[in-house]
Amino acid sequence: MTNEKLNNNNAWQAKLEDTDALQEYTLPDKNAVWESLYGKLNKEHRPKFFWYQMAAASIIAVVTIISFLRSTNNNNVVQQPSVKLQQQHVVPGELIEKAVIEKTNAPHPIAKIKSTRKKIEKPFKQIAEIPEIEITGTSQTQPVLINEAKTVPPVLKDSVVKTPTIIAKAPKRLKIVHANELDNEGSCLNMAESRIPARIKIFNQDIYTDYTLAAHNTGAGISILKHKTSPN
Amino acid sequence: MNTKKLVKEAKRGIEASQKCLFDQFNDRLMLICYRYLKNRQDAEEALLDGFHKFFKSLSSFQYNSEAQLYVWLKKIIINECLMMLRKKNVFNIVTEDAAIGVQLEEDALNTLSAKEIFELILELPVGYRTIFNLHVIEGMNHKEIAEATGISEGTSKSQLSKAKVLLQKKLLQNGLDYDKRKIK
Repeated sequence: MTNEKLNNNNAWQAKLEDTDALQEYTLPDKNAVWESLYGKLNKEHRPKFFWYQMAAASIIAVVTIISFLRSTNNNNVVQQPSVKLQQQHVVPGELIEKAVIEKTNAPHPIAKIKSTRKKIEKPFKQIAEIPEIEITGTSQTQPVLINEAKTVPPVLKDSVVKTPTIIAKAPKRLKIVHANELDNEGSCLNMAESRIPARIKIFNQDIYTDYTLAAHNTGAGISILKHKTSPN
Repeated sequence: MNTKKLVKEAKRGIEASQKCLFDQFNDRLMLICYRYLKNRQDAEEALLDGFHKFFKSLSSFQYNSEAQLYVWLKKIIINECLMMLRKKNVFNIVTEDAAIGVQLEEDALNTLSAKEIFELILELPVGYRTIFNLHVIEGMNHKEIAEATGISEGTSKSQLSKAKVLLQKKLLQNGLDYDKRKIK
């Protein structure tokens, strides 16, 4: 029974799908229908490509912006001249560096550090080197005067200064001594003032305890007493 | 060209192969659309949508034979037609459980030509025609019809019996010598 029904259905189907017999009910313009169908199929592909393109373009834009910002940051770092270098606290004999902004064709001014060496001569300090005097039996013909003492040239700092930090030299602080302290017993100054200049003769050589006395008598002398008035 | 090769190329989106498949099946499928919708414009629209779905889902299709491909394509097209009919609320049918026991002698209809049968079916009201198409021509049972159209099985049965009665009347009204054509 079911087989008969199935055969009947197939017969109906075959009859009703006979395109030759039912030509008038088929598509009149197949190409037009195909064109619209193909257009519909392609329409769905376009948005996909569009969004892919948009995504790619946005990624490229983000990367470009990031790289641009990084490059501008680097330029800013170069452009900052160190203010410390232009400070006027100059220690003699040190290197002076100035930041000079050079005009170039570059879109952003590039700061270059030009180092100009200015030697500021230190005033010579006359340091009297007192030669050691041996009290021996041998004769020393003349006493040594301060004027004839060797002058040692000041040691200049290394000409190559690697660190541009310039620190102002602190002024020397002198020890403040009260006047009453000077009057105390045992004070060196007091002792020196109270000392009586004398002439000592050792091994046929006159040694004066006071410079003025020595200068008066022989034109030379040794100041035995030294005052130390500063911590240095 | 071999249908298998056409399907393979159509899956890759080659336009020529897709057009070949369209040309191969569009006439038969247009007749189905017309039989369900009775309107050329609606039939063309349903055919277009059906083919669009077919090409979209072709990548998931496993080709075995041309008959299998046609059955699949036909199912898509019929679904499109039913969807279009649903949009027009043609299945808003009052439930009629009491089906009239009309027996249409289907062998008699076999004596008619394809065009005569086609035109007779088109003369049926949309509800009757749909159930008749689905049951008598496509071979679906009432349960399947109920699921496809959203009506109850009883309604499907009654609609079918009414369609058969009406078809017999139409045959008589058209002056067709039904009795003479009867094989029995």
